[in-house]
Amino acid sequence: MAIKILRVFFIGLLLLQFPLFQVVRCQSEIEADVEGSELGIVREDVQDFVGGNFKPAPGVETICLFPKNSAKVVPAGEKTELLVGMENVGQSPLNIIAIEASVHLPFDHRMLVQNLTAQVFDNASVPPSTQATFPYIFAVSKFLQPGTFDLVGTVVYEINQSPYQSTFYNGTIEVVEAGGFVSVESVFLVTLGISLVVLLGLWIHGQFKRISQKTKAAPKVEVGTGTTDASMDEWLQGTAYNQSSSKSKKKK
Amino acid sequence: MARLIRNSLMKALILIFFASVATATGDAPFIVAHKKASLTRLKSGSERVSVSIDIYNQGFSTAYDVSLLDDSWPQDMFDIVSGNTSRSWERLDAGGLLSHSFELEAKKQGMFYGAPAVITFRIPTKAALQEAYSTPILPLDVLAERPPEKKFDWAKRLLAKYGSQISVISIVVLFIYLILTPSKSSAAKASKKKR
Repeated sequence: MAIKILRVFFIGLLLLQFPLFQVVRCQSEIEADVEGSELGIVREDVQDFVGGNFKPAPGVETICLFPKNSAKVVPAGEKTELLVGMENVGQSPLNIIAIEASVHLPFDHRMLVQNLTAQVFDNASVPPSTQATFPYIFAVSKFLQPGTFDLVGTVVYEINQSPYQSTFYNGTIEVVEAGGFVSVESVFLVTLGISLVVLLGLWIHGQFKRISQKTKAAPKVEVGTGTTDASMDEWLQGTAYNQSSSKSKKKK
Repeated sequence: MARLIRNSLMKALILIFFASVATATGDAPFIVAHKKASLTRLKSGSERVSVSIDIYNQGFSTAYDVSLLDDSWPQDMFDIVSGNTSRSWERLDAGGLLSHSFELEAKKQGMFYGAPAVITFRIPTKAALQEAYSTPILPLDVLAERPPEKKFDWAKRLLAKYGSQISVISIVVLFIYLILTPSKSSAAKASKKKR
């Protein structure tokens, strides 16, 4: 009776919890980590320009180069450098204000993964009819998953006090895990793999031994019947059987 | 029939438009120069500056008479130890790379703000000499006072860098050793059981 009550009680408890059950859902986290480095002293009016949307100036060409890194490999958490080449085809000098970049998901450009720190320049200018190069050092978040991402880099500059903005890079980068070959996880994985192989080998070896023992043990069964001779000795004494068994004992 | 002609005309126009857009970026060389300077403190106490300049041509045509000139190191602050602050090459093809490096010895103490190096080159379509500037360098703290390294700093650094890997490998090796070598007490127990 008590068990029946207990059973009913537990079933009732389970049923009560049903509406409270919730499926565990994964939430993709967007890291708010921002890393980078700054070059020189900051201008006062930089905040007005950085983050705004300006049009590119007609006489300016930009180019992006990853030095000694044509595969555009970016180790997560470590500094990566890229060079921005600016050509001023116009008549008046150009003042670079800042270089900024952001990382997006490759299949949906609106999904922002990380905003990289903007690098502001205090006194960087490109005279007319010249080309100049500027470095941009950035680091993506250490916890970013390895894979392909979209990097959008823009340079904000002004010509004759009016701001402009050009996108110097709008393409993919390969984020890889920083760190050498020997790490905690790799050592454990390798040891586990080796131990599993060794265990498998031992098990196969055991199986072989068992099979070989079975075939060898068959003839031994016949020898076992010799031990029962001791109980038969008393009433078989003097008979032909006793004489033959004593002979076999002597042989032993 | 008219529709067909109109369609083909549209396609031709679109093709011409795209072709023009592709060549609109020009067929001139685009020189991207990367200047790097690093400080090394020698045992004798003097400081050396190693400067390396990489010149890339990211444009579509060859640059001729490429000449590099780095005048940003004043004579009263730096002495040239090896190499030359200027160099010239005959040509730099599209997609090519030129490298140059030299070493200087620092004479004066203080913060040094370097200016970019200047690269001049010629292109067939224009008579004037073209100019390009390299990347600027970060401020260098020349002959800075460094606090003396404490006794076991190098050991601490090695430990911080390789500590986790060494500990993991040692744990795994110890574990394997424990499993493979039977202990004396267990062997004695086994022999007792047999008796």
